[in-house]
Amino acid sequence: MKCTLAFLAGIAIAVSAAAADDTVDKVKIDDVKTPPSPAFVLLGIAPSAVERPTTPRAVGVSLLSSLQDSGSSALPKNFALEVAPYWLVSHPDLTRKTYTEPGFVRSLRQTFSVSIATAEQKADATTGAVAGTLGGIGVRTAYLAGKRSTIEEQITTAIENAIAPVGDQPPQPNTPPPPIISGDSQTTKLLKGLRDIEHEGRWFIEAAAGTTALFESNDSSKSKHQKSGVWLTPSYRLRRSTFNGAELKTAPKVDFVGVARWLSDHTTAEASHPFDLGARVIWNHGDFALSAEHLRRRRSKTNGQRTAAIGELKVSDDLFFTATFGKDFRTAGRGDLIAILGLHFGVGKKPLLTK
Amino acid sequence: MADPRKIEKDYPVNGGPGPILLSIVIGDGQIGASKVFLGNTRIAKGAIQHLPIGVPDQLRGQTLGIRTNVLDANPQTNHTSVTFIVTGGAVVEHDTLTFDAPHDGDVIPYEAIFTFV
Repeated sequence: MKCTLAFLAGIAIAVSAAAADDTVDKVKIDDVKTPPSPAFVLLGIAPSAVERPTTPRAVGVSLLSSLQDSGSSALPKNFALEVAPYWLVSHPDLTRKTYTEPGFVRSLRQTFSVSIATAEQKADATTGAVAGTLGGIGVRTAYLAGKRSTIEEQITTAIENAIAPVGDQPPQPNTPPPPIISGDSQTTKLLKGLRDIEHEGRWFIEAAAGTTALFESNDSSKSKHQKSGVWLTPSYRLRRSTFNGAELKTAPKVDFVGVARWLSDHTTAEASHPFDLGARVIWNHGDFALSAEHLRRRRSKTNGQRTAAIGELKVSDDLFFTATFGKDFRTAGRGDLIAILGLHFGVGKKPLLTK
Repeated sequence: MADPRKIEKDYPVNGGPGPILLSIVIGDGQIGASKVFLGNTRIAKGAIQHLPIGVPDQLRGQTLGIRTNVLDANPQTNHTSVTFIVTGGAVVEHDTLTFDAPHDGDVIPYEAIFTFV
């Protein structure tokens, strides 16, 4: 087998938008992971203003205002809404223990969210695009398996002690309760620690599905299927942190992530239905992360696989240095060796490391 | 207008199975801690579950005071809620107070006063 090798080295500045790019030579594990908002990803948009109502009334107001903004069209233009129905109302019976150890069905209910978006498509003679409105809807849910760790219970207890009412004075009749406390440093630190370790030692399985359609000439009766997708992302983080009663000591994080995605794309002349399956292991310590990933694509004309090792260093809050080596999808006209050094600014693709 | 974070009520102690018990449920997946007072004396703190307050004859005329702080620790919602449950008297008192934290990570103080009659 004749292999063509290419060596790419240089400085790349990534400023691409967070749209889904399914070109086989560009697809990476992060593109295949379950997205927070499937509708936005399938539409290939990164809306700057997303309505996230938290009460039933706010949902009604969002929908009503979107219809008013649509003008003469029956469909709202450039509208983005994401809503988690379970959290629209208060749940006084939902204790912390039940919330953090929800079981299968409750976990699905607690994490279920719906994303809806529309985007205006302008006519383009070069691509054959017709004028109209793109509409998408997606759903997402997740299952957090297992029980809380001892360390999570210890931090919860530390928080309970930190927030306990001060002093030994009983409440006085006909006087208002004390004011709300914001930004207490000790509580904030403990809460951050709690959120950092809440998935340690537990399987977290995210799933999503979505579909989009084009409404030609903004006519709701003329819809044409564009894209559909289904995602499944199981992940597991090794339990490595310790807590001494006051401070959380975090060891380097080790995550295992599996990905599966099926897409049905009718936006091209010939419809495609690729299925991607992959896995990644990530070691992350402070500002430095190493990962190895493997991704396979099947049910496509461009079946293939990608195996890569990636190093990432956070230089500053908005600047990341990355190095990627491995073997990419084989595409016509270029080799499959990956050897890329890059500088990524705080826009575009999300780095492994967080700000 | 009554403060949504405070409740003041009478609780009839006679005519029930006794003794009088108190439970406090912190809802919405949030984290909370309480201090419980009988008169001016603190009788418990922390998580409160079926806390014995006393027998009806001894409690009549006394006041049960509760101070509960709830941390908005749940990233999925800013709803916070506390349910005070008093049992053993003529009725099961089940009072829920709810309040939305203005910011993620805020601590919301709640208070309850039950006068035993």
